[in-house]
Amino acid sequence: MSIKVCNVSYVYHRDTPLETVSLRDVSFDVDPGEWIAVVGHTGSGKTTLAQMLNGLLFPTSGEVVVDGLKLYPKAPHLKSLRRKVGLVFQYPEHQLFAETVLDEMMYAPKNFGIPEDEARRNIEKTLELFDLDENVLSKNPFELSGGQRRKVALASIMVVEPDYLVLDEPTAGLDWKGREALFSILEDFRTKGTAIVQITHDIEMVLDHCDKLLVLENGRKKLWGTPAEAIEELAEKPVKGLVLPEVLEFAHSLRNAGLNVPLTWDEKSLLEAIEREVSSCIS
Amino acid sequence: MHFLEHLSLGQYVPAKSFIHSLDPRSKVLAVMFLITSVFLANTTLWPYVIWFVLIVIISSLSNISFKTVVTSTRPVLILIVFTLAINLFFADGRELFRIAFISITEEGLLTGIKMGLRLFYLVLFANITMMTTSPIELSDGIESLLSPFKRYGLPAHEFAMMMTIALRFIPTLLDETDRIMKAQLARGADLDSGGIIKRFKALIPVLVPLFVIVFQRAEELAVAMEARCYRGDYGRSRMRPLMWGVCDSLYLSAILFISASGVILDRWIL
Repeated sequence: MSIKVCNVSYVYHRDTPLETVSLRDVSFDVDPGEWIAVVGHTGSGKTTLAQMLNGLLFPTSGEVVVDGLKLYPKAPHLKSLRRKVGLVFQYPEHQLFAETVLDEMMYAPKNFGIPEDEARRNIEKTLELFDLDENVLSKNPFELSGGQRRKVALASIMVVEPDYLVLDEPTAGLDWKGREALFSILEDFRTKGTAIVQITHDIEMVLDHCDKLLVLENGRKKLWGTPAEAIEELAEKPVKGLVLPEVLEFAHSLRNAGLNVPLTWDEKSLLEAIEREVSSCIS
Repeated sequence: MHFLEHLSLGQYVPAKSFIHSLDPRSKVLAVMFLITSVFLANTTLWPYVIWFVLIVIISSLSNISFKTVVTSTRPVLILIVFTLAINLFFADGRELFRIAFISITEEGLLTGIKMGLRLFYLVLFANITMMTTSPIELSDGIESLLSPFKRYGLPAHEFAMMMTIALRFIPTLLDETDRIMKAQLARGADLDSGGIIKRFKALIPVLVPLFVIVFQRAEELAVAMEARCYRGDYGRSRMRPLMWGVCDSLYLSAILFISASGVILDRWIL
C-alpha cells in the first residue's frame, strides 16, 4: 500500500506556442504513515505534482500508482482513489460554499457515498481533532474568523478519513500560532497512520516534521532523502530560490571556518556544540 | 474541464512579428473592413478564395502557425456547422437530391457554405488580431478609435477601461475556476455526469466560491485604483502612446484594397 510516482513528466499547453514543461522525469514513493515534504521555488512544478497524486492532472508521460491502481483519465476507480488521497489546495477556505458548516462538512461524505450516521460520527471526531466547538456546525462558514475558516476547510476534507493527505502550502497566510496548531493536528493524523505530503517553499518549517524531503528545481528532482541527508547536500550546493534555515547557514560557515560542529538547524544543539568547541579550545 | 490545457480563443501569444508590431488601431480597422466586405459579397464563392489566401498570408506574417490559429477557433466550430446545417436543410430552391423527407437545394447549399465561411473568416481574422495584440494595446486602440464620439457623450475612456479590466481578469478567473473545480473534484464532486439539473446542482459548489472571489477581487481593485488616485480620463497621460507608422498605412490600405476588390469582383464583374 503506497503511492508510487514513476518517471512522471508534465507539459502544459502541449503543441501550442505557449508550451511549458512543468515536471521532468520525477519519481518517488509515499508509504503509509510517512511525512514527505516537497520543497521548491515558485515554478518548480510542486503544485502540478500535488494535483497528479489524486488524478486531477494526469502525467504526460510516466505513471502514478495509488495502492496498486494506476491513475488515468476516466478510470473507474478514480473516485474511490480520490477518497483515499485527500488534497488540500492552497487557501482551502476559498472552496467553502455551503450555508452552514455542517453542510460543508457533509459535502465530501455525501459525494463519496458514506452513510449519514457514519459521516456524523466522523464529523464529531474531526471537530474534536481540530479543536472546534460543536456549535460551529450551525454557523455560516463566511461568518467565521480566517483561522477557523481554514480549520473548517481542512476538516471538510479530513472527514472522509483519507489514507494519504496532500497539502499545498497549508500554512500560507497563517500566523505562528495557527501554524503550530496545524502542525500538531497533522502530527496527530500521522500517528494514526495517515501519510502526509506537504508542499512548501519554506524548508525550515518542515525539517522538524518530515521523514523525507523531495527538492524540486525547474521541474526536476534535485534531491530525495531524509532531512539530515538533504541539508548536508543543500548546504554544499544551494538550490536556486530555496532559503536555508539561518542556524544551518551559520553552522555551515562555522564548519568551513574549521570548527567541529554538526550541520544542524537546531539552535540548542548548535549552541551546545559551539560551547564544547570553545571550552576545549580554552582548556 | 481543464481550461489551461488548450490555447483559448483569442488568447494573446507574445512574439515578435510584423503583425505584432502594428498599431492596434490599424488591426482593429482591418478586421472591420474585411468583415464588412465578407458580409457584402453574396453572389459567387470566388471572393472567398481570395480572402482565404489573404488570411493565410496575414497569419504567416504573424509568426503564429496557421494550424494554431485554426485549432483555437474550435469552440465556435459548432456554431459554424450549425449555421451550415440550418441553411442546408431549410432553404427553398432547386432541389439537388433528397434524403427521406429532407430536400437539399442548390441555393441552400450555396448560402450554407457562404454563411459558414463568413462566420469562419470573421472568427479566424478576429482571432489572429487578438492573438497578436495584447489586451492593453487592444483597448487603447479601441479607446482611441472611439474618442471622436466623446463629444456626443460616449464615455470612450471608461468603456476602454472596463474592457481592459474585463479582459485582464478572464485568465485570472479561469485559473480560479479551474482551481475551485479541482478542489471540489478532490472532495468527490461529480461535475460531468447526469442530467442538466443534476449538473447544474453540481456546479453550485464551484459558482458560490467563484462569486465570492470575484467580488473580493473587484473590491480590492477598486481600492487599489483609488489609492493611486485614479480619476478617469481627466488629465491622464500614457506610458506607451500609440504610434501610427508607414507600415500601418500600408497594411490597412492593402486590406482595404483586397477586401474591396473582393466585393467589386463579386458585385459587378463575376
